[in-house]
Amino acid sequence: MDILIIAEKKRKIQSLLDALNEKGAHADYLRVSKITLVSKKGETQIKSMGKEIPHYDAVYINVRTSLAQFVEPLLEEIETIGSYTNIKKNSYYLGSNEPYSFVALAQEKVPCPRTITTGSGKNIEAFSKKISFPVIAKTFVGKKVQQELFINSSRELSFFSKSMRTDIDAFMIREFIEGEVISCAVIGEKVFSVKKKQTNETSKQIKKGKVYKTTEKEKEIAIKAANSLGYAIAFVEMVKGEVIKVEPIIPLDDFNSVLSENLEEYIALFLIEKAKEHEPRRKISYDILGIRKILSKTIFRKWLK
Amino acid sequence: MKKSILIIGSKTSKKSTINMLLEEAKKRFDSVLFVPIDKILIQTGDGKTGLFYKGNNLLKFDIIYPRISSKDALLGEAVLKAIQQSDAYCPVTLDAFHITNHKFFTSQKLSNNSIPGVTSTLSISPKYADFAVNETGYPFVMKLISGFAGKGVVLINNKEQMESILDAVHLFEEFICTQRFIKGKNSDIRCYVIGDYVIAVKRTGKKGDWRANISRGGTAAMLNPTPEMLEIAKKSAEILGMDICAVDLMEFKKKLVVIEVNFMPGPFRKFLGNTVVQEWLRLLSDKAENKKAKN
Repeated sequence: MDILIIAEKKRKIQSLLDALNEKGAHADYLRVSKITLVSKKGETQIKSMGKEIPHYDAVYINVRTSLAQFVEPLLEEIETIGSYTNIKKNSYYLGSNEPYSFVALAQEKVPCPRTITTGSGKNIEAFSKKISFPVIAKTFVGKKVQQELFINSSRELSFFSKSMRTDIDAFMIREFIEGEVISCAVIGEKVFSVKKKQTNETSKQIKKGKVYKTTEKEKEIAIKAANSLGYAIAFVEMVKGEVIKVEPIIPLDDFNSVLSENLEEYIALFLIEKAKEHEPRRKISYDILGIRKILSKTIFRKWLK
Repeated sequence: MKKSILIIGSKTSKKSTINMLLEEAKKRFDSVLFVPIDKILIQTGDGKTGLFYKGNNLLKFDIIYPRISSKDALLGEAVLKAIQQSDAYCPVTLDAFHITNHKFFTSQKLSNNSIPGVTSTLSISPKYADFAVNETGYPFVMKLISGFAGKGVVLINNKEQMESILDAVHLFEEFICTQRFIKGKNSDIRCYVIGDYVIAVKRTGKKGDWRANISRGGTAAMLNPTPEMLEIAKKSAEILGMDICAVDLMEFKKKLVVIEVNFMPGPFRKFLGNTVVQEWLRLLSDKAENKKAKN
């Protein structure tokens, strides 16, 4: 069972590599910055340091969504090869764009707080009638959140809109749902969760939370939210059954410390199971004597594919 | 049988192009609305998505033609996703928006589907850029993946030039997209694909510029499309799922290769008048009529 982990730093996925190797899989690590995608002569190759990488049964991608413009063409190729991946095509475009991901969640009937997005805060009074206060207001420059604020009333919203930068790309307001946050680590059909208090603005600090057993309904929502954005493994947060966050990277250390678990073990088992179900269409063997390279320049090129 | 059309404009839309579009649209449609993308209100909740402008539901139009660029991606992706699930006919798709606004992704998608192209690479780190250059050789063209109108394209002749450019690329957190340079040409062929119809145009760059973009002072003239042009342009559009686009071709080793595909092509008014715009609206009007007839 050959599994490749593509990540930005090895230390972040070392425990997963160890778990995979302990369970009998052959796991390799590849730093994402070492990859070059090469499109030529009617095909695309995934190369690392000039050499085409062998085809794996499963590929686990664990990089920031801000690398979407690199990850999406990479996913296209992995899908062509036929390897299993933890993320589907388009999932990184979704993950890097909050307004887009909320549209996708709504279309899949995933319960989410009411959200309104527009290009500027100019006509703010008009649309503030469509939403109940308090709200979380965010401004975006490019796809990055530039400012995030907790707003209690339409008056506060008006003040905020007047102080807002004019060169923003979008302005978003989302209904704030009071209650405790349930942070979920979704690994296939398994959901591990932590309950924590919600601060006014954000819902970080899982470490301060407590172990929580989700209801069947909450479990179903968490899995559906992750899958709707194309993630088999994801970090989902919800309040009173309404999803407020979905990301492809689980803060594993935080979950492990609260749950006294090793979630990497579950991810390893999940990947091994998926790797068994997938066989790459074209599996390149290592070119020990350089024969493959020589043959690839002859009429046997097609046969090598 | 009343027909309605919504045209969504970009932050980078030219006023003259929008005016031409609206003028032609009014001749063929009963109801015409133009909305800049940043004025659209995207509303989600209770399992529903709506697009609104001054209280009007924008998803009720028969035809929606988004003319948006990579600079509109934040709202554009959400808007296109909402359109995709509506009953409106749209000549472009969300996938096509992603692919055509990414120079490497376009090469990859077309090359994997047997459309001739030139060697292209994509990488993250300047540290390993040498491996990318080994694939293209010198000289090569380095492109910002979402650049347009000839902007963000640099011709690199040697290692010294490459190193100084890479510093800038790294500073702006850009990905490194390289493409083999086709020597000796400052002209290309733009094929406007409009449904099954193709308008071919030869673009020639201004003297001293190796790029053929009209926006950089080049010229354009219509030509009769050859069967090769027709086949490549139509197939490229079909692979990307677009009824309206422009496929840019160049001659390389006596064959035509695709250089890029445009999601929001300009109509080259100065050289072609309103020929292209008329054809766009003819297609959109036909689609609206077919849609009405089916219902």
